[in-house]
Amino acid sequence: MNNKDFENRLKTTLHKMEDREMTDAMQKTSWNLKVDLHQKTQRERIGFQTFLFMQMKFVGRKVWLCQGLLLVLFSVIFLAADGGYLWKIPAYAARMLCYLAILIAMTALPLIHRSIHYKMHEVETAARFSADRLLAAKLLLIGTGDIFMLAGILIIVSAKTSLPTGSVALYLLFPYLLASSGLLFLLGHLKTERFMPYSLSFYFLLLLLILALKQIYPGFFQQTLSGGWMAVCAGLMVFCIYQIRYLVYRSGFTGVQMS
Amino acid sequence: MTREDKLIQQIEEGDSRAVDELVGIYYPEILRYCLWHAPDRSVAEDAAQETFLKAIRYFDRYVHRGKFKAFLYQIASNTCVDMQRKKYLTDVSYETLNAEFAYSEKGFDEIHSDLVLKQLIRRLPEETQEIVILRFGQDLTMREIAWITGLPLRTVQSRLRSALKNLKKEFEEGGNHE
Repeated sequence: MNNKDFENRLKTTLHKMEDREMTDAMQKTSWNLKVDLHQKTQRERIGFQTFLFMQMKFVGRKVWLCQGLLLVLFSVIFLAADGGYLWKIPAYAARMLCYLAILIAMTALPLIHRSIHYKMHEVETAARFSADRLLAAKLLLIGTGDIFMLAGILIIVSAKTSLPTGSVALYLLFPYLLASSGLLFLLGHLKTERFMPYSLSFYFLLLLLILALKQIYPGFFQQTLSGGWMAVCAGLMVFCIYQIRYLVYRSGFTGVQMS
Repeated sequence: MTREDKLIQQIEEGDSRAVDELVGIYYPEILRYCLWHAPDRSVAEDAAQETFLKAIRYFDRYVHRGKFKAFLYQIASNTCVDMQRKKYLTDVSYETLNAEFAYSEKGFDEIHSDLVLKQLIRRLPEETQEIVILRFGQDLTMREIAWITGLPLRTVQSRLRSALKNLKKEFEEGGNHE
């Protein structure tokens, strides 16, 4: 038997299941579809902004409360130790800020993992939006909270250490945006079961990179937020926005990708 | 705009006749696909119905680019995975496969050979099996299969080539239908 004949044989065999009568099942399906369609059109259509405000009530408050508590904790520890010895040394302070920024980006992981793991359940509950838009809403809420956290740390560290404000901003913003870009990229391109291990590995590598930079390129910890670095951060921000749009608008029903 | 996209537009405008037409076009092949993943016909019919229900519910997530068929198959694939996770097993014995062909009036040899071939397909790794079913059972293109499975096109092509080679070899050796 040649390959073509075998392929035809395969096709014939696999098509044999369609012989049986299926009119009843089809009619039942059509009927249920019409009922569902009718119910769907009855439901009030809401815009993404309204949906986002609704999510603030359910998810936003909890997330922001946790982030707020973390910021308060950091402030108390930092101020109580009067900045601590390490914070007095600019290079160490710069490194600590990088680690902090990456850890702040990591705090989104559990919530995102829960969101993608229980996608269908959440979509059924929301009943109006796809899982991807729900996820995008959560990312925006987490990101908003992160910005406030970073701003709070910026103010405290600038006031209490000798690091210029521009440097503090750089060592918070750049690692945070880098970490977030990676997270969003992985979120949009990995299957659910691979997301957590790959994300954790990515964050671990980032932390190692910061550690390694001390030996490879110590000059990195003596920078400030110059025009070049601002362009880099702007580029990363654009990348993050692109990835969120990709999540929301990518073709096909990715919300059903549970496997 | 493809015929399916026109039907979807009509459905979105509330034309229920378009629902009948859309179901009429795709139900047989979706049911055939679900039969592969379900232990019996009634479960397959439930999965097929659930597929269409989800497609209707998430119409606003489908971008009209002539990919409705692949969109529907993606939903079907995930619906079947979901059902399998909940309570149904994927392993199907020779006897169960035999029961699926009870209606056939063709000769025993042909039925037996069909059963052997199906058993061989079922023994393939899950992702490869899916590719073979979508290609030869559902007549999808390689691009559509790559899109549905989330695998690169080259991976789909190479896995299919390898699967066909192994299937042909085992089939010609008589298969093993324990």
